Amino acid sequence: MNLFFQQLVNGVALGGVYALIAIGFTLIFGVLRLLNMAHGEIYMLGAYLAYLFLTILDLPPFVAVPLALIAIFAISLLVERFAFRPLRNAPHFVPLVSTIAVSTILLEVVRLAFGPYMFGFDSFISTTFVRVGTISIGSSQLMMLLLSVVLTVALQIFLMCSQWGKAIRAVSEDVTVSGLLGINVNRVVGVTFAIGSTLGAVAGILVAMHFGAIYPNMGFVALVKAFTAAILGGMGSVPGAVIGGLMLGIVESLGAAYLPSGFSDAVPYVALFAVLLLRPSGLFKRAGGSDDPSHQGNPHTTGGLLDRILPQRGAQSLAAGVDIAKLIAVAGVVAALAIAPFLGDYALRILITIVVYAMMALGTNVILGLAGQLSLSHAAFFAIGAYSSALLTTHYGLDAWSAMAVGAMLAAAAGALISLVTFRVRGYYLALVTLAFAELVRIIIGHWNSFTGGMMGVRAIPAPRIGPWVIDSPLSFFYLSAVIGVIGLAVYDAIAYSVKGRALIALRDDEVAASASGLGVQRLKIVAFTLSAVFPAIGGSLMAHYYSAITPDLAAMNETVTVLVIAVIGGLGSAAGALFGSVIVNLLPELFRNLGDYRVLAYGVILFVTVLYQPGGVFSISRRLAWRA
Amino acid sequence: MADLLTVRHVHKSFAGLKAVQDISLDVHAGAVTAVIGPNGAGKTTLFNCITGVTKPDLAEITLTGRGGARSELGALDVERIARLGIARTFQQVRLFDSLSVIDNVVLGGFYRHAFGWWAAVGDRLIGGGRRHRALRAAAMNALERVALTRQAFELAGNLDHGNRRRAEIARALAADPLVLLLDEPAAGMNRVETDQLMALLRDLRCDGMGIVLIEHDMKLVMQVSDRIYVMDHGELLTSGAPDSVAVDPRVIEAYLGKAAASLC
Ligand SMILES: Nc1ncnc2c1ncn2[C@@H]1O[C@H](COP(=O)(O)OP(=O)(O)OP(=O)(O)O)[C@@H](O)[C@H]1O
Ligand SMILES: [Mg+2]
Repeated sequence: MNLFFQQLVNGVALGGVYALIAIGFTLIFGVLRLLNMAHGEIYMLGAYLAYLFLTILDLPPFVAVPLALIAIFAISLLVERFAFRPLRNAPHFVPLVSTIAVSTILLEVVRLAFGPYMFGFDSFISTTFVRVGTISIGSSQLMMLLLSVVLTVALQIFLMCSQWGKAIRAVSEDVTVSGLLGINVNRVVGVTFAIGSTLGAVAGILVAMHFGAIYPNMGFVALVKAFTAAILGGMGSVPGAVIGGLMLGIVESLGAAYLPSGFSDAVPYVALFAVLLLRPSGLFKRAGGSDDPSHQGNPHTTGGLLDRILPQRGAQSLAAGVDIAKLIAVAGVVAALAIAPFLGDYALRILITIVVYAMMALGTNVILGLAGQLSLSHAAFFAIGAYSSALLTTHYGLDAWSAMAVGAMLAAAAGALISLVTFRVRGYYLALVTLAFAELVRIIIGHWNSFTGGMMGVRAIPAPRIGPWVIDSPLSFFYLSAVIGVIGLAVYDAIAYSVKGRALIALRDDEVAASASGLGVQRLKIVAFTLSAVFPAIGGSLMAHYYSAITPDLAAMNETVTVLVIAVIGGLGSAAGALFGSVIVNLLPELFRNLGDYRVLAYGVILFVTVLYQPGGVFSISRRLAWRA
Repeated sequence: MADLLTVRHVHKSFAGLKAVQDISLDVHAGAVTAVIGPNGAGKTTLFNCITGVTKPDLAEITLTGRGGARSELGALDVERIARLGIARTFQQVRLFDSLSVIDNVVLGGFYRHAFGWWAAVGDRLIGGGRRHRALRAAAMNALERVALTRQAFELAGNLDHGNRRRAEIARALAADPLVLLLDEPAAGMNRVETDQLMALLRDLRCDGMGIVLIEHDMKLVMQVSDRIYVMDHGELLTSGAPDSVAVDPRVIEAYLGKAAASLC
């Protein structure tokens, strides 16, 4: 019982901080109608800037902390201005991808500047404990609680009573009308974004003080928590976020006390799924406000880069079957097959990697490019495929092909399950839920030592055989992956151009009209999710056999970001685009070999520039789809 | 005239606002039923309740299908209702913008074909898209009815406003529905286009389709309707044949306000 009350107190203190993160997140959602995936990185950056000013520059706390917060405020204004404002009228997944790009960039900048390790963060208030009966409350906990209460109340007063607050509420009700009423929408949105971010940064500093440590990846977990708390309370509602944050903090503290260690990391994710399953609109649904993204422009109707740089051949030539993107892709594949015997092992490895990532991007193409669902579980499916192959061949003596098939089926089942669980979850929400699923898979794989080998992964995965031949040389493995890759591309292409593929596009364009036309929306979504899981799983299986050793990092978030970059750069929905994107992403770093650690940062920047300037990607599929039958 | 769709006692409120209150109406095969009323009267909400896009608070809506089977629509979801033979257009046109016009129409009637994933992908992979081409050929008929064959291969998102409305009607027609619900189809159309629309409505009526028409263009309503229901503030004001409704003082009042009514 004692433990219970102690954990309850800890939970309330922690919950206060979660509430702060969630308030910022929900405030930004209310005004921008945008799930800010970079919110966690802002939180992390707040803690790092405080560390920089306090410990490295040795400034006194009352200078250092405000300085860090002012810096965050300024950085957020810039982020909003350059990353989100230009995209305000784009379809909802475009700004979302932009927040992913910003998040990747911020994370990589910090990782490069400070290193990937954990730093001790010295609390600048003295650590004392207040005892109430048998329960002890630390000074940092008290401060967490106090500050979150004060800031929440202050924010509420600001929103309700000040001129700015009124403008913010007006903009979150209706942007267009607010504009007509003479409110400077751009300024209001910018300032709200900065306020929300700064609250997140305050929370980051508090958590850093409480746990006495900071590390670059601390932001993602915070993001999931903010999101869970915000949904719990009803997206867009500030008081709801407070209550959601408190509940999450309590559940998590109790979980930490009563669950085996390691798995308590999974609590926020499990809570997130539970909330979405039981109360997708939150416990306290906000009256009026709808989060259904309104009808917006479609990047798929604007041509891709290729359509712009190549002379227009006119629609007629497309009808006649001249498809430049496909021609280039076929020529590229033939050339690769022809020169492969003359390449060294290193070059072959790059080619194999290109195939594997193209397979992953095909999954993204199905689910995002065709069906328009921003699902970010690819890394999980990839890992499921890889681990199935690894474990079934090493532990259970299955041959590589059966293992690959089982892996694909398991991933398909997981995909179908996700689509059932998230059926009511739309646009923005889906992105985070699926990302959380990937994280959950990584945690499970990483901690289930007896089965998956834990962090050590699986070794000595045998090479596949075809009859008497063992495919273990890089060259033969390249030919094998090329065959599988070409089949994958061809099947994807057939899916995209089939009537069913077009039904998926219809679903993306207008779900209401699709169901009012009698299209089975749920069935379509289930199939789309299933297909989107199969392609990466096969890629993962190839990867496992090629490297013969794998670790849980396969399911890491940056894999998902990489795949998203590939699919978006190449041109969402296009098979040739997936291949082309994979070539760019895997070959560019080789061309700039000295990029080294800056690789992921470069991906972030490429993703960012692409969504800003070329949302249609290089190969746009839409125009071709119009004609071909 | 057979009773196709009977709508009884539909109620729908939005956070206290009574958008539709106790509306009942009958839709007959081979007849045009018009629903008119000032802005915000609840006409679109009524359509949404019938098609399942919005769940009514209370309603008894019964469709008599082709074989005489009766279905209660209240418990069904949007696509089930559509599959029973109710097609609609939207006040704000909702097309699949990144597909061609012809594919929009193909998808409008697609549920009627038993065409699974294997068949669809196989058709592309080994059949060269033959079955898809057959579907497109059939869809051309619907486009012909709205005179849109020339635009068949344009992206729906690139059409101008009048053509978007026609494409949407063609998509609804492709389902060969029993009941066709049209929400302000003439909005934004010029006189010539409206006349074409009127001719189309008459054709469809001859074919035995049950048509429900929400429309602000009184000339069109008076010329094609068999029966007119007038709504105001969510309630049914009156209903009757076009000439009786046209002279009803309550209708004039609802549209023009009290002052105008007393002038008459
Ligand atoms: N989803 C909704 N949420 C809240 N209120 C709604 C919603 N849909 C409609 N309303 C309200 O219900 C009332 C009826 O609206 P409806 O669109 O049905 O009117 P209408 O007769 O179609 O008008 P119009 O001629 O302008 O199209 C209006 O006051 C409208 O604001
Ligand atoms: Mg209306």
